[in-house]
Amino acid sequence: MASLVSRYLGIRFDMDYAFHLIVLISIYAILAVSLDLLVGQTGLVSISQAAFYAAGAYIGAILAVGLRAPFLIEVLAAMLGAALISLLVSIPSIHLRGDYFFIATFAFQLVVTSLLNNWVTVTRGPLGLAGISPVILFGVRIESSGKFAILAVAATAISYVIVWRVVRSPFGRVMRAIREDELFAQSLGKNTQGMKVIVVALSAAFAAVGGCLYAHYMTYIDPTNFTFTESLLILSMVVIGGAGSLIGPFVGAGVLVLLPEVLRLIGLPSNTAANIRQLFYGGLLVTLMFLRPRGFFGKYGFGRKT
Amino acid sequence: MDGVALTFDPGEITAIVGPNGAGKSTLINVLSGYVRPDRGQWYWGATELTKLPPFKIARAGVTRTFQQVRVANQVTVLDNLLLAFRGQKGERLSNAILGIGIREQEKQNHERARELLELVGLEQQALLPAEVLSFGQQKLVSIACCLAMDPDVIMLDEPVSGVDYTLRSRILALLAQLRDRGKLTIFVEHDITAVREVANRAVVMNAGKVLCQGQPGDILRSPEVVEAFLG
Amino acid sequence: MLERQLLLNAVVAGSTYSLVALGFSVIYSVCRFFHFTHAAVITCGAYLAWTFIFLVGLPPAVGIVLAVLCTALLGAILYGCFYHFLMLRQASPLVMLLASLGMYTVIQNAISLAYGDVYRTLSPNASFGSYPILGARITGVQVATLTANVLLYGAIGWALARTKPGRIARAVANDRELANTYGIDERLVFLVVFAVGSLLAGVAGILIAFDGSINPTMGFDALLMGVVAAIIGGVGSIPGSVAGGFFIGFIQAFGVWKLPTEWQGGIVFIVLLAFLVFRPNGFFGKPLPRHTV
Repeated sequence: MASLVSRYLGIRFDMDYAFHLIVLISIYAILAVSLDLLVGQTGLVSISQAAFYAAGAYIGAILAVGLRAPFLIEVLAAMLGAALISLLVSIPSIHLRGDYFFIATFAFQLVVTSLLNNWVTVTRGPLGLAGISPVILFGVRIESSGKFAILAVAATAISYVIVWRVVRSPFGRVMRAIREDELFAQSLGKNTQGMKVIVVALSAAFAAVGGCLYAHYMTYIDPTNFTFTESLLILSMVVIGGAGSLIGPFVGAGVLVLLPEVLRLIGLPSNTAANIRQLFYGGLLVTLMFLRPRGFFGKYGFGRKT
Repeated sequence: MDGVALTFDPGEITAIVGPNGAGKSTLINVLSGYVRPDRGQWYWGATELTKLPPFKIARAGVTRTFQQVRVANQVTVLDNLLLAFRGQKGERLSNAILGIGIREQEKQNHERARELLELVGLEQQALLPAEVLSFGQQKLVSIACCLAMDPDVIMLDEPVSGVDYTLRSRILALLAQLRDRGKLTIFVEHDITAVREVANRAVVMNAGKVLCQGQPGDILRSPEVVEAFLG
Repeated sequence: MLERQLLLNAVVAGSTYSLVALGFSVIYSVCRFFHFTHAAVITCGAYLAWTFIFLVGLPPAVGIVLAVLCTALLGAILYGCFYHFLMLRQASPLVMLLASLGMYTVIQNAISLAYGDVYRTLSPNASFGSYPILGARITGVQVATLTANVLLYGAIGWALARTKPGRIARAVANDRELANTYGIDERLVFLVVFAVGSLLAGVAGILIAFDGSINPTMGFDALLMGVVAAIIGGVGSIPGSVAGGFFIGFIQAFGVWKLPTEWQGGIVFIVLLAFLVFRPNGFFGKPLPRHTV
């Protein structure tokens, strides 16, 4: 069938390439929806999602390589680890106004990058961790890109179902109340500070899932995958796709993953492609803030000036 | 506020009146835990509320509304009410994800919410986002939310200010019902007619101190009160 | 002696952090949103100086002054052509934050495209000599850094306390609506505040460039240090920004001296966390805004 499609499209169509894109979109879809729990549902803008993504990837990689842990155990441990790490950011700053929480996440992101680069005994620093073994799940050895694509899509589907349940539940209602007016939520007897800490931990846990997937897919991770720019990319996916909905982050992930591929097909020189791409995202972000803060499919426009 | 010592009893409606800056809203803000005083304590029955954060005071049965109406804007009126119900199992994350025991409770709460909306006359607006309602309607929503919490104490900050006439009488009727149900109601108001209509006690404040208190009819005619308002 | 040299370096580095803190703090306390693009403004200062001196060929002093003035202009343009219109649309602080993040990305990548990611330097010859002082050695650049910073704090402090525009700015910082009722046109105040804050950022960028190198993301780390310094010192307070900057400088030097390399970046974060938890006011500032009625 692939050859049929490629004859029809007139371009060289490679199933492996398609699977590769599917995996990337899946991973970023998970990352984006995890950040949307914070940004779109609870109104907490954060620029440290890549740090939690990194936590998941590194914990997962270390457990897989060092301890040969089974995949599911590894993922659970990574989720737990990331959630615990998130407490470092949330507990000190969650009671302050949003700007200060943002600053704490900004500082946290930069520190995690520095830690990944310098804590050589654990992370091997800039050399990164290589030789991450393939996933073995239910006795199946997941080595081909097609099998991994299935795994990634399954993981994304499960993540979205869980997030959907949370968003639809009374817990999700309180998240949105906190987003709209935290003092009002408090007057209704809701422990808003406690719930915000839980949401940050949940967001970190899902980002960790993305991290584990990425680590096993690439079989190699290093600190350059988890920088501030990466956090900004994930944030852009949420904002551009649309905050506060389930579709928005998914669309954002799809668009921002496919776009560079399209640019590459057009044949832009690779050293400037990254800059042009980021310039475009930044410009899109700015434009949306002027015209449509809730993005294309979002429900939350980041509030109005009170 | 300066040396304020007051007692309130269930089944009473107390109005707090006074000129601007008298400390009326501050009183409610302090009692509900949003502003911390330098000195003083306050209790509901045997429970001391003094150092508690606002959400714990609300859970203790002491609820309030805000002068500049606070509701969840982009959330529907119905959802605003659903938020207010207490003891929702679905608010625990584990229950939310696994879906344990939520459906029953949600059904019940939806029923109660609809009843409350009928009580305040907002059934038509149930599925509209709270931000499109008029100021007076939003005040009704916030009062309904208080009622949904099944509170013992309700403190209202300017419940009828800026509200058009039809809604005003609806709100005042609600306040009277609260008294009949044995709730303890306190409200801050500028609208003296409203005070005369529903309150059985008025407390006059000025410059942070309590000037006097008593039956609204007597108090509001007394010369010192008139002077405080005009002076 | 090593300790004395570290101390000296800490003082110099700290003075630059103070400058960034000052510029950021002035803008934040008056305009009340997180102007993330400040990081790009710092970078622009350095690149403009490099352009004027090495591409256009102006004498260094002229190039530097021109770069600083252009950076101030950039700040004014950022407000007048960008933030102003967002504010007209009743943008919430979150929207302003996201917009400023986007604008930072745009400017930083524009610089990367125009100049490349190559590390450049502003002072091809060694740092203008080095002189012995109190058992350590101080370079000419470091002397210039300290002098410039001290002069600027003094100037800003004096301007805010003694001049009419300064008092107006403080009034707006304290209570915007009240200032409006007194007929103060806050838009003009914002414009000037952005220009002044950006001017400070430009100077900081040039000083950093002299001491190290220029690259498109240099404003970034400087901004983090400056923001943390501003919080530690108390946002909106001049002595606070100065104190906070030096404090961060010392902490960092301490980290270099005593801590293993992996924790050196972390120490700034730990300090920030400690202040957020234990002393949110910072040294001199008003309490950090919690959610209040």
